[in-house]
Amino acid sequence: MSVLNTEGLKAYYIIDVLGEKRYVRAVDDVDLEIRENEIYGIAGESGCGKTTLIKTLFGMVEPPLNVMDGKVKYKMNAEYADIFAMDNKRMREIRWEYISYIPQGSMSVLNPVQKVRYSFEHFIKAHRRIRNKEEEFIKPVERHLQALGLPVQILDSYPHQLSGGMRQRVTVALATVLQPKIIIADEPTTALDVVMQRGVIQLLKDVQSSLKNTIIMVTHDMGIHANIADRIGIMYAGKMIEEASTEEIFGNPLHPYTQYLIGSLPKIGDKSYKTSAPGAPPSLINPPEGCRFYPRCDRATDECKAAIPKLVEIEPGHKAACFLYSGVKEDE
Amino acid sequence: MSSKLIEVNGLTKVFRVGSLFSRVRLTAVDNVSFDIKDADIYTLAGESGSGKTTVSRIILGLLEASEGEILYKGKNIMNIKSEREKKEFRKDVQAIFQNPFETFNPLRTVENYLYETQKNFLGVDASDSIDGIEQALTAVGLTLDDVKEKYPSEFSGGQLQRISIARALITQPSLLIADEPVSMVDASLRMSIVNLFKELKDRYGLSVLYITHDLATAYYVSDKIAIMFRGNIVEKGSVEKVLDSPKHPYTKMLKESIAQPDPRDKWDSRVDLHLTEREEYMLKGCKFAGRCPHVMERCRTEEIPDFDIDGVTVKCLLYQ
Amino acid sequence: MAVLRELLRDGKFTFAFTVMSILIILAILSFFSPYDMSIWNVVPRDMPPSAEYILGTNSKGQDVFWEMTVAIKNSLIMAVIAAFFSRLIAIAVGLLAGFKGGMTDRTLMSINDSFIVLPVLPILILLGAILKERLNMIVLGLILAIFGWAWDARLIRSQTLSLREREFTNTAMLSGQKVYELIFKEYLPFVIPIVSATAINNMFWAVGMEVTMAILGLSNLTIPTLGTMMHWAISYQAMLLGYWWWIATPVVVSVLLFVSLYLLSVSVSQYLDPRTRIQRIGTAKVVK
Repeated sequence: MSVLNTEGLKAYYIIDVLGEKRYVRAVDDVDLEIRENEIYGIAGESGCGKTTLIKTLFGMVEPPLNVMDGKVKYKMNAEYADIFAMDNKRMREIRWEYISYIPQGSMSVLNPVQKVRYSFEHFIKAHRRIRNKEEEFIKPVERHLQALGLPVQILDSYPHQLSGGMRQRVTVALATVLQPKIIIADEPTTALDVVMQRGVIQLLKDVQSSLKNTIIMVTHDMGIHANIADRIGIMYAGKMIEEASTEEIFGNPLHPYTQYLIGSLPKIGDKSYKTSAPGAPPSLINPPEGCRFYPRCDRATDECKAAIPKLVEIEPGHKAACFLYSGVKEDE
Repeated sequence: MSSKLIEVNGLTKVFRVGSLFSRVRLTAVDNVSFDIKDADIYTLAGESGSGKTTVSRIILGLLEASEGEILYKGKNIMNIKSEREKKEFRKDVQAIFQNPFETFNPLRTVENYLYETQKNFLGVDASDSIDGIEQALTAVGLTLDDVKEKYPSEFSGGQLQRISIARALITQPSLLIADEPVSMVDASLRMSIVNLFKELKDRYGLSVLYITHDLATAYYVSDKIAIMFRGNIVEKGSVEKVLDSPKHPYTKMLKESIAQPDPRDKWDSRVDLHLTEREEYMLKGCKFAGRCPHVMERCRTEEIPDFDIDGVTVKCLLYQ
Repeated sequence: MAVLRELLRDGKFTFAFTVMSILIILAILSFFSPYDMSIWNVVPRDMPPSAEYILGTNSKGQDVFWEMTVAIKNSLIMAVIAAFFSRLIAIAVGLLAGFKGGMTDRTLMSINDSFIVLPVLPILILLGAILKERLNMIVLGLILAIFGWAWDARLIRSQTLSLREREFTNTAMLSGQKVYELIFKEYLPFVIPIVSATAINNMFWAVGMEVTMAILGLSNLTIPTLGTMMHWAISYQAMLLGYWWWIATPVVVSVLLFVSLYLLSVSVSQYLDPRTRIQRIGTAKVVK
């Protein structure tokens, strides 16, 4: 059962440079089906549109970002609701309660001049009417922190008194305090040290297994994906090019880009020669026509230059967008 | 037996932090010693705040050390006063930086830096000869036409890092200091940069001081490694010995914490997280004592000396 | 030329540029003035605008149109001098303080802060009263320059401080650049936008100061400027007597000058902003 769907989602940045309009095709025709009770990883390199994709999934669409086409649907009360058809009030209500967001830098969520307690209070009051503070606010928050293995004392400290990893974990606690059905995490471990990264990932896993909800996790770090994700979608130049279970992505990558990506990952204890894909990712302002990867692909044919391959199921549960496996084109 | 190219002895850097009234002395680099041989890739690894970048900045002369000496080809570079000698050293020891998008001025074309480096160190004007520049660019897989009249914003991170390396190669240095050169480069291009270090070492006998937090690429590329923690080198030796069978409890924990890109190799245990960085710097004795599973009373009070054990140097009383 | 063409795509700039061009042409016309503005009663007094006297004549017996052209010329010259010299001081102080840091920075910034807190208007009134007849446009421009650099020097200093921390400073040093090369090649391109945007603001301020002083009767009233024109018109009760053309001319010209300087400063600083510049540098084709 899917909990979040997109259909032909296109989200472009429109940049006006002194009267000249430019379109940055950050998310270009993406279909997603994210299931209940899974951790879905979105992988890709910087500038491939993965952050834009999750911003759009969260409904955080502000100029210069514009949704050009397509739908994002949440499953609520057994029905699918298109979020772009909702008014702002409804959007505010479901945000954090139904779907929440863990941003890259924790400082944008925690108020730097107030104690952590204040952030929690502010957050909960926006969604719940609190009559009895002790019963309805303090105790549930403390229970929540204890369940996540965080010390309750952090409520009385200021964000700058906590280490970066602790702040990030507080952000996770804050994003999950209303027990959302979907959690979107944008590079939650970037800029943290490896030990801290592990702490944050451990926490996210704990949250997911206790709430049985869905986590959509974006990171460029394939090691993190290998450790936490159930399924992984690989993005390249604004398009989803492969999607499969974590074991399949690492063990049997189909798309040439994914093969390069997986093949180039260094591991401790392995000194064998590894190469990168040649060339560099294309600009999203004028991406190559046809398959976006063909200029860097050593198996490209004339067909790849002419048409865009569609993301289709090649093996059960394993989708790829490549003419090596299927001739299905995107209709444009 | 190859000779020592650079030898760092007892390097210490103390920062004074805090406000005027509550000054705290923070020893960011504490009595660090290591040496790099010719045609050697030496990794200085550690988490943020371990002091690894401070070491590189001191070697490059961008920061002044509080104590210690750096011998480059047998000569203490801390005593260099004359401009001519400084230039000579800078010609021999070049560097590339972490953020390729910040390495070049966004308002200038990148080729300028190539011409300037050639002119200032080799005295060759670009109008007379660009052979050196072309050679350097060829070494990193680019041509002058690729970079001509282009601004940094027109390149990808990987390309910029290549240009940055090419610029450093123009002076034909003996040592290249690379501070987190791939952490901002995309995964699909990362290995091409790392492979470049190997190639340059094999082809030109270049030594590289590779500073990173990424033990996986360190294992892949380097010959020797030193693990830094809160200003100390806690373990150093050949990369296989240190990372295949780590001895220091910190190295062990660091290795276990890496998310291996292999779903068959997931974490199975749990971690405890630690005190803040500042508190650990302030610890007497071993800085890891607060988290170490094998901690003894002496670890907290004594200055820990280095112990040599099967070819690896470890700063831990367990190996006394 | 290409720069101008790009700038002209901006409506604000086009308007300001047109107005400014007209004002400059008028200022140039002053060199062809048939009358000497230091002599009174060369034309009939108090004539309303007509074919012969486009903007009428005033009670001093001077042609208002030609007086206006000379006034624009003088006011602009004064403003340009003030802006130019204050920029020179601001760049020198800002770059030096920001790059050198330490003692140099502290000394320069304490001088700088003293200039920021000095009450400019009372000092100008005092100077005006002392110098009076000896105060020509060049001297006034220089005096205003001395009082007009401090804020911008602080701005340039903080910009330089942040530039010094950026990685390309290290790359430049490793490329063997000397300190002066570093400042001119690496930092100046970032500082120039601040300088040019604030230069226009500074001109704006200088013209305003001159008008204030002249209306108070504290500048050399024998030189026609936008301020002294207003001063004479007011002291001859032009408004009361219905000689609207005499008072309206300097007021309208001043307003046009202020508005166009403001719009120029807005669109030029937008154009020169390093961030938008970097976007433009990455020239790519327009899709769709």
